[in-house]
Amino acid sequence: MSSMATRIVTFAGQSVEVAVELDEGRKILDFLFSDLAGDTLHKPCKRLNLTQTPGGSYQITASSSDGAPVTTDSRNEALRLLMDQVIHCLAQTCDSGLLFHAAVVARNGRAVVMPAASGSGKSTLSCWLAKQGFQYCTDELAFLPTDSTRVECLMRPVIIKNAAREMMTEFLGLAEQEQDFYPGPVAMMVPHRLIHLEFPQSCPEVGLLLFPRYQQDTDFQYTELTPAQAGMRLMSVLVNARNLSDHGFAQTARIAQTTRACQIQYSSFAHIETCFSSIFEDGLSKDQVNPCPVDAEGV
Amino acid sequence: MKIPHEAIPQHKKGFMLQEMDGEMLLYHTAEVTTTYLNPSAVVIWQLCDGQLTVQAIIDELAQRFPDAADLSQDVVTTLQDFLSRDLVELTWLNSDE
Repeated sequence: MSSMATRIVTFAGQSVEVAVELDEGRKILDFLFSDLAGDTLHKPCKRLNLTQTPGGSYQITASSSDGAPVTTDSRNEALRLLMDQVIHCLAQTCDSGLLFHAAVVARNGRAVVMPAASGSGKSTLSCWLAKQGFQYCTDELAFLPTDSTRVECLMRPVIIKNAAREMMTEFLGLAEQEQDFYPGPVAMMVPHRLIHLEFPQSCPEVGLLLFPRYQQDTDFQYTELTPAQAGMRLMSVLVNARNLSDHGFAQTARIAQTTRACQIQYSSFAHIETCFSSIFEDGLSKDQVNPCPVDAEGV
Repeated sequence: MKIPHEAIPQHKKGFMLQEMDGEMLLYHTAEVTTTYLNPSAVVIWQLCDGQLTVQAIIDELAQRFPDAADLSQDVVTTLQDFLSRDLVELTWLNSDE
């Protein structure tokens, strides 16, 4: 029997109220949003409702009239879409800093920020790095408050596209827990607490900008980026530019100027292992100049 | 596109600039586009001030870089790139006549 479960979700200084009218609504909200506790300081900018229609499909509607309802026949897909809608609402209204489409892992209070568009391999790379000892922070959204160098991360279940499902389940060693992964027609959602048990207690400081690009059957390429090249790439994944007075251009440029940045293209994690310590360990040091040998291309 | 040497390139309006270590980012708020310029392109961009003709830009660069080979083609190619990205427009000395 379904009952209404509601929760305020807060991130990047914005709140959304989420209501789920399904069986186990509270469990669903815990699964999706347990690390995005709502606060009472921010009035929710929108309320999202997930319900089941009389026809049996699942529907997400918003309190305001903008946008058509989102509908799907898959319950698990509805949960993924609900998360997407929450993120969309937060990005639409966030105006107190820069919101980047990026994965983040951290170590010793320093963050590796991996800005990239969907399909670039952010989620799988952040899981792999978590298995190498980094703390998983997010696979989707990183927030830098105005004039801050500390990054707030949207901690949520890891979204693994179905194409990578088998490889990731085996790689993560989580085959026995697969029933908990909410598999849908597009992707599955892996509880992030299964990936790594340690999470940052405070917002890590941005230590490295790593622009990843997964491409099948390609040679490994490592490229150091200049501040302007990094700034160009950061602007392309800034999701709330329209809410900011100068579209976030000046602050983005400052981050690019003060943070070392590199780009990798890879087709397997074995490629990354060849440069792992120099990129991710020495690379987090501000003094490091050339973390990967130039002849790493084609490894 | 052929660029006459008597044309005067001028920055289009609406860009915010950030110069970083000799390179530059241009951001156009209305078009929501970001453009990266390498150091060579930055030098040419800075000379597109609405005063200098294409020929004057070539002459200026020849003076600054006397050891460089013929810069004419590089300047024209870069300006063609600027035009294709809508970064500059061409004006003419007697355009009103």
